[in-house]
Amino acid sequence: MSGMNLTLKIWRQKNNGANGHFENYKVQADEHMSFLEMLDVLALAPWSSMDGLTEVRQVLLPVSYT
Amino acid sequence: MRAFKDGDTITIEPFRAKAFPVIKDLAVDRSAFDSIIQAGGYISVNTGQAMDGNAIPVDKADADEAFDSATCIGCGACVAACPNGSAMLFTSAKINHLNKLPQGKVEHSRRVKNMVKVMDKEGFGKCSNVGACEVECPKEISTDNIAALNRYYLGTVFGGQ
Repeated sequence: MSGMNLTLKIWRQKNNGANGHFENYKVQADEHMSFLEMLDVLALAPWSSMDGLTEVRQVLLPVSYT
Repeated sequence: MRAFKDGDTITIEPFRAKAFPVIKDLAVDRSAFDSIIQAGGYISVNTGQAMDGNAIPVDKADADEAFDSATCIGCGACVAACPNGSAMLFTSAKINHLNKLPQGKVEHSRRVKNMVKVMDKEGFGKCSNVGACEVECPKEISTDNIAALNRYYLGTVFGGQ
């Protein structure tokens, strides 16, 4: 198990009419996880403020990373 | 997650396209794809007993091409990847998997005209042969489908096919 500390910049937008913005989240992930498992870790973490993850998981995620 | 390393920043954002309005956070409304399918992504057949599987011979090459096109899952990645927000890859795959087969040729012209018309009406952009759609497609749908659709469309509109 090799852990990594990642920063996620996730788009948050209340509804179609609202202005969206990126929010930063910190997550500790393992290289053997799938991408969705990593998001589960983020959602289940007691310190997480990542509400509404169900919707996040229901869409195919376009991912770019720096 | 093996593609990432410690300290990386991952940006996660919704599909960006005029025809895919954001519903909430990362969820987008892809019902524009449903409208395209409803405009002709089917064949009309009389119901009744299923006909014999070999009653209509189909070339192996045609069957393979039709099957490749039919693997499109309609995810919308092609539209999101396209700088023009074009749905040509999706629409052409849906048209070609029917037009390649004898059962689909009957409604060929009507299908091509109607599906392209609805695609334009839904606000998708025009294809300018960038090729980003093919690169991002999880099912590896080829841009050959777009070339075939352009041929079909020109033949239908100007050639009276």
